[in-house]
Amino acid sequence: MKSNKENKSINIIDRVCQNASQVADRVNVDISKKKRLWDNISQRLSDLDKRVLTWFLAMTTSFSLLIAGGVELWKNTPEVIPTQRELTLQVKTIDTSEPIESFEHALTSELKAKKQPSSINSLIPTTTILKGTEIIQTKQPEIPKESHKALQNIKPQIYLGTTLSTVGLTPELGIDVPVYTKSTGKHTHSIKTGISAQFLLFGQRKATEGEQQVNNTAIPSVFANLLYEIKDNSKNSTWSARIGYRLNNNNDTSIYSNHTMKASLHKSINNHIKIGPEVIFTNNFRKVYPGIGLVVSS
Amino acid sequence: MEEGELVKKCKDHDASAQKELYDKYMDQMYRISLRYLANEAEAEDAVTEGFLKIFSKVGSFEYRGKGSLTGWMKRIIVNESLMVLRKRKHLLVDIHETDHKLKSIDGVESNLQEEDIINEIKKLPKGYRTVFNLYAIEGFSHREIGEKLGISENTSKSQLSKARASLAKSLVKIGAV
Repeated sequence: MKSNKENKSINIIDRVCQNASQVADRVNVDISKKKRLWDNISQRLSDLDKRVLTWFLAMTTSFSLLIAGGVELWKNTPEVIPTQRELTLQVKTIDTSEPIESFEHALTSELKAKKQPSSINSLIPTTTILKGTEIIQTKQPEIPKESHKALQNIKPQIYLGTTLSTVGLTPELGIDVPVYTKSTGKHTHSIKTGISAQFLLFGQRKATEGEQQVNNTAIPSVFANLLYEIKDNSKNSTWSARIGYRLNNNNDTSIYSNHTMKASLHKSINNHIKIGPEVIFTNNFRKVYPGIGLVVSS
Repeated sequence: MEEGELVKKCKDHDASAQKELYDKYMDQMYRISLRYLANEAEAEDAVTEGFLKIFSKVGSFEYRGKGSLTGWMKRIIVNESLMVLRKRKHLLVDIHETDHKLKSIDGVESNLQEEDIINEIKKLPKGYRTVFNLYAIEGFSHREIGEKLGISENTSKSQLSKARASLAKSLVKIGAV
């Protein structure tokens, strides 16, 4: 148990320090420092406003792309998705009391009538049997041919892009190599890997003999990219999703610092131009910057 | 402008109200941060981040009369200062600031006695100083300090005890007690 003397000593120390703190807290800070800090804060606040604006732009672009994608979907003929019941063997039972010729005739006419354009129906195996065990006809499903091209068509694609974000425009130069391609007739799915360099441009102000000079500097950030692309062969339109991881951690900038990843979704406008939103996760993924990307490829 | 009015305008993102709030409280917030960090550059960082947080979170702040705004802002600045301390945790060499002279706006030195006492607090090792500031000056309980710093209540108590013992000697030395 603490003695009274000890408690009194503790109280005195705490009280003296509290009083000193109260007095010290009232002391004014140097006015130039105060101004400098406010400039920094107001700059950051305006950056925040810009980020909100960029978010808005990014969201608008995403929304437009979604609508564009939706319109494309609506234009497509809706595919009939067969139910489980429909997918089971369609069994036709015929009464054997009738003459066999009439069955064949009836069957031929029915099959002719059932010649439907739907590709789904052609997938369903149809078996017609007589009561008992005699099989008259079995129609095998027509499975559409798929072509898998893995590492066959390695044609590198060079692209030039730019991202509009809170720090302005950051140009990008990169190359993609397809590593896997799968074509299902209607769509072509591709997986590509690549590397790109994104340049942050800024002007450094230098005072030389009373005059201010602006030196433009470009700081590169090298990204390793993985891209998934789906192409609608009939419309020749492409959607692509790309993720990139920053490889060089030495050239830190405001938007690309420490561990940085970026993710983007692009929609092709034509064979060479793609546009879409981009999100940059930087500073060990603690900060998020939205942007809009434009890609021109070979 | 009245505090309540100031808060209301800051909630509306009024730039002039934000500037007024900053001008009114910056000195106090900077001094509080400096007590924890004992380094001017780090205190500036903490104050900058703190005010950004204040402006972004003022929308959720409910003004409950005089003192509530200062208390809320103080808590944010203390938390930001602790955040800076946590970031510095991995540095092997502690940064020492030699110039801690507290000068008023017109250059006249403040009360030397108070200045010396604050300097003695700043001289304490980081752990002692943080716990002493939180407990003796800000009035947090050991449980709250434990939660804030990620230490046990007993560690907080022992750090406080050692801080007091160290301060008792130094304050006697400078003739403050």
